[in-house]
Amino acid sequence: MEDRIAITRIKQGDLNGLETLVDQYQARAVHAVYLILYDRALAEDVAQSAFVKVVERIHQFDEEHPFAPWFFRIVVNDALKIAASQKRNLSLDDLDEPTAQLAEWLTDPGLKPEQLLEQKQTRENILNAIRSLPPEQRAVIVMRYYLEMSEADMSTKMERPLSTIKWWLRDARKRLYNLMNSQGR
Amino acid sequence: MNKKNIQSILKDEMEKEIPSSQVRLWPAVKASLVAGKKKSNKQEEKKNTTKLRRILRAAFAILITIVLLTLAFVTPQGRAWAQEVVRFFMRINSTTIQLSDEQLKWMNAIDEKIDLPLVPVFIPTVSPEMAAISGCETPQKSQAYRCQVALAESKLGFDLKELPEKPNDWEFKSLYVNTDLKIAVMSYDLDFKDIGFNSYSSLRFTQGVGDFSNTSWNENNPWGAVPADKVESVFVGAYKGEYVKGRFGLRPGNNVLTWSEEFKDQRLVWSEGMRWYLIEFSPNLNITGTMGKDQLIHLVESLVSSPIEKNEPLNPDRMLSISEAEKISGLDLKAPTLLPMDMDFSYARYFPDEQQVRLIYGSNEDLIIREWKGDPINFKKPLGAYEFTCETVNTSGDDAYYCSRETATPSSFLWWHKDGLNYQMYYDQLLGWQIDKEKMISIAESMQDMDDFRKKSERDYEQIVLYEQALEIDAKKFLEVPTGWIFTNFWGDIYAQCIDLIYSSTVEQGTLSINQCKTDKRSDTSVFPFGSIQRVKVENTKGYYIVGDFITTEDGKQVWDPTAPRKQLYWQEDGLWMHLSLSGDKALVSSKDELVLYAEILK
Repeated sequence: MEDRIAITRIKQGDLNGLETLVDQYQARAVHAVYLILYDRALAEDVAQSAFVKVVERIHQFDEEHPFAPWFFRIVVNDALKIAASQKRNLSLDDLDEPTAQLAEWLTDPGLKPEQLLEQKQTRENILNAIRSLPPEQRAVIVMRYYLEMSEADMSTKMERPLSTIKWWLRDARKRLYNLMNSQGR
Repeated sequence: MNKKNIQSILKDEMEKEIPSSQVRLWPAVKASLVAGKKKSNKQEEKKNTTKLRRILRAAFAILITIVLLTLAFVTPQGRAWAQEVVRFFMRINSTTIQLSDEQLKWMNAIDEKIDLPLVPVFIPTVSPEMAAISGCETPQKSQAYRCQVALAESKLGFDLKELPEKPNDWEFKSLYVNTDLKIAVMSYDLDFKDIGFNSYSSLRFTQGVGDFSNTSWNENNPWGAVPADKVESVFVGAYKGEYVKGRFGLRPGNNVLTWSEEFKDQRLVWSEGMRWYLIEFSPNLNITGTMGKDQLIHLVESLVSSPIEKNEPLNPDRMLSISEAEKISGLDLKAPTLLPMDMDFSYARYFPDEQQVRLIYGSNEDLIIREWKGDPINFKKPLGAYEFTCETVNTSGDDAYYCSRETATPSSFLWWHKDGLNYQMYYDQLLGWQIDKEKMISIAESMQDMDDFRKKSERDYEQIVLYEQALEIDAKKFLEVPTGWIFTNFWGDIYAQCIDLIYSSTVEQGTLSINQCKTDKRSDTSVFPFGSIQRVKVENTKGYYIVGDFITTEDGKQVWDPTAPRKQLYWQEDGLWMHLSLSGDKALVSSKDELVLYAEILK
């Protein structure tokens, strides 16, 4: 309800409406971008400019729909544009040795529960594993697990077929699930 | 670990990395907005200048075009060039295509959950024509590239262009021949990269006879259309052709195809006399440095009629039959004789350190079976922490361990030990295709000494009965195939529970497909314009006869064309929803009575 009131105020030219939205979504926006770009300053820049775009594009927003997915589409797309321009897609070779070993293990197509039992990885490894994904897959993880979007919604936001999203998620999930499982031991 | 756990870990990590209390964007956002308002007046001035520049540029472009066209039609060379303008791709003046309701109804099934039926593995028979080719006498040998090409050439009556030598990291995937359309389609996978599963580029090389722009593939296929300004003229050697990067794609929830270059798909088409050639290349997006326009042109310029044959060493990462895997591993492998529908043997991989073979099934690597020598697996280790629900089950009288989990990506596995070999079968449920415990056990119990292999051509008519049993459909067939038609392929549709039989005309160009479904999902005639539907009787049953098809207009619309070469018949019989579709030139010369007759002689 708060979002709707804020949006109506922005549409009427009252910028205080935007302040409400900034308060509400700024941290998630910065975190989401950080998970894609791994650069705090850039994450804040992208999130900031996304809020400016909200004002510029508010007349394109359909108030019948929730604000968050529409807003995070702008955020994620802008992050991906920067990722593409930076070409910061890390390969396995770029990772340090323990992480590379971990990543190598993660690429194993099968599940090895008995090995999972023996794994003791730190939370930092989780971020490293996400970091080892290409930016688009990182964005998929962020949208699905951090922003809690549905696969269908992500497909629309990413302008990719649902099957591609499912495919990326399949790969990324495998790595992450394995990590989470070893984490819990 | 479920979505909530991942989410909370990510949230905790982010909170540690960038505490929410430290994120204060409002002052900067406000400053940007205030600055933006001041800037807008300056931008208006700049916009006007830019607009003037654009008008001048357009005027200059028009002037240049007039000069070039004048030169083209005045000089002898120019006149010759103008007469030889070749157009291949179907051009439209739009970057979007509105799909018809009929086309859209096919797009919406992907998310449905389906219990995959099990189907006995079918080892194709060798046709007499194939058996007559030296070295192609057995089912497995007949899958070899050399055998497939030799048979295709004898069916088509002309030599196919081929790669001079197959690059080492390319895999020949399949060869499809349509004698009626006079086309051959060779498919390859290349640029393999293991990213937890195999990702690769796909290359499809189609060659045919006649005018490419009039082929039914190109003529009425909205996915084949290209915005006019995206077509590049190229030369392949001395021959003219066209190149395009990008393709039309459907965004979920939309009914409009939109042009996109994101996928980096490329197409190159050219003709040499009466023959045309088309390369379609979908690059592996997980790698950089794969082929672009120049490399594709270079590749096709190297094509030959008589390639060099070479014996390739076995590749332990990609063995295309169980016997190859046994040869490399030294293991006496067992393979399932019962598999989920359409989840055929794909390849096998050998891991020397673990002396383990993995048999991989399904085009998405959905089902994996590991086999290795060793002591029986210890089932007693606790597995609850992985969110798997586990139980001891019985496979052929022996204990086995079955675990499954219902998370965002449900998966299950079955472990067992038999005759000194450990077996682990894993299934990842992708796209909603489900296999339950009983089916996993049935697959395990069906494992035998069997040399399964990757199949590279159409399915045999004899295989239909296996699909009928799996889908519990008593499909109708021609007791005697009508004169002028030949059976070419069939497939099972798990979503609508159908069996589709495909026949090709041996006289005019034409395809006859007979679809028989247990559901009405594919029998919605309301997608056709009201005036195009006629009522008919098929024996004593009410049926609908439809003439015409949707065609793509230059402005990207799908409009109904009553003269388009397609005739269809819908009716119900013995609890099945029946659909007969006739397309191509044959449709133009066939009457309503002929279609009804085909329907009535199906038994």
